Amino acid sequence: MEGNMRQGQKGKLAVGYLLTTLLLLGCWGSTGALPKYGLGYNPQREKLGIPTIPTNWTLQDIGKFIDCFDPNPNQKAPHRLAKRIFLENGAISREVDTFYSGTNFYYPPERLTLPQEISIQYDYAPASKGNPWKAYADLSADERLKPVSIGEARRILATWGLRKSDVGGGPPG
Amino acid sequence: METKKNNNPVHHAAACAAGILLVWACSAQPAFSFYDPNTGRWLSRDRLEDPTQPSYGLLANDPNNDVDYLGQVSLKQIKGLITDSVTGSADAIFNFLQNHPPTPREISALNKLLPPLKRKAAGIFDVNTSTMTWRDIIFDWFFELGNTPFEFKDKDKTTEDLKKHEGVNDARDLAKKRCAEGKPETEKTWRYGVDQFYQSLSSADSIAIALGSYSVSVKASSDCCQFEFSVLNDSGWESATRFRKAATPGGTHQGIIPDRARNTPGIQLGGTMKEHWTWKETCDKDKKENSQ
Repeated sequence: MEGNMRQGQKGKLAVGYLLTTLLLLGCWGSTGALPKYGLGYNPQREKLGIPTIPTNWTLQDIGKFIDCFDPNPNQKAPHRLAKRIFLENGAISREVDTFYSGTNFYYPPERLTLPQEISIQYDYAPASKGNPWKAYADLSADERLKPVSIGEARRILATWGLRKSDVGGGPPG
Repeated sequence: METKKNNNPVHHAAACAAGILLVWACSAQPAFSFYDPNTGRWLSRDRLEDPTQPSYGLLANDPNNDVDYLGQVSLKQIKGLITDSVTGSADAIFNFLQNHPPTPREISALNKLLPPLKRKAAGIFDVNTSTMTWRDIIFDWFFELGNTPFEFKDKDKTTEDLKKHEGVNDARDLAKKRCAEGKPETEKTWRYGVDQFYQSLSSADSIAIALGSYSVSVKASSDCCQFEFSVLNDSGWESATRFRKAATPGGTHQGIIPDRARNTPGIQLGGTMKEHWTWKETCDKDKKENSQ
């Protein structure tokens, strides 16, 4: 009887050790890009007109990219969904901001209900490669993944009621 | 029987398992008749057959289209059994998930374990649209890798495969026909129904397995000699676990797991991923003129 109890305790301890090890491994795997290109990079983002990362957001370092998102969004209201920061050889290469209108649309060909979304990308590659900004609007069954100008994307986001602090200053001029 | 729709890899695995089990179970039976694989017919009458019925009664008297592989059940019945086992299992999983939703604490604990796994996956699966394979698309969806929407261009690996796929071939033929009738725009959806599901398994059709149903838009030039193709697909849980019930007219499919956008609350796996392929095709003008 006592032996069984001891065995049970040992089992629980083993599970505890396993979970702790996995959690530690999760922390240990961080590449160190988080402090540099996370909140620490916000001043640079402000200069470029890219949306900054709010201080209350969750940040996850996945190695080749960093995911930033609101841990408790109001899912029925228009809101800024997430930012994904892409890294190449440890340096920032691109970031993508996604916004959600709070409503969905039905897409008959795939018989799916999809969220109305706008995504804005900024490419950190040298300016010689052309316009660093790119935007897509996924608003209705007739306008799937429509490429839009950054100005048009910002205009739509304003109609959703999103503030400048959410959307960023945008490109100069 | 309702037509079942399916899009992605999760239920394919379940269906494969069910199919393999069924084939294994059936192959464990002793042979009931002598079967000639060259003609697809039985050399002797089935001992279990009702002697009062015509020879091919079990096959609805259509031995050419409904081959009796095992001497006991028809292909349609086998398909029905697999479908029922998959949908039955899916229904049980759906009911279990409805009655036992994971608690926020459990979701949070699971999400804390995911980043190292995703880091590993990011090192294995390609997110470069030029070189990605169909397998990469499936795993990029599952581990939420890369940048959605994925924009694929002409000469990209998957674009070149897609150009030859049944859905695109059908859309191309239709676009040419419509253009000749003065209609420059064509929309065609390739549906992934039960028959396509079995075909994709038997022919290892990786495009169908990765995409499921997809829609093709074609815009033709005024001389019907240049065609702009656009293929759209959304990869998400809803379509991946959709084998449970077919869509109601105008409604949505009822998958086992509902769709979830990337980086929204919930388990951080399988957030909806969007894929878009575009390319142009030009006809051989000399050939066209000669044929006129």
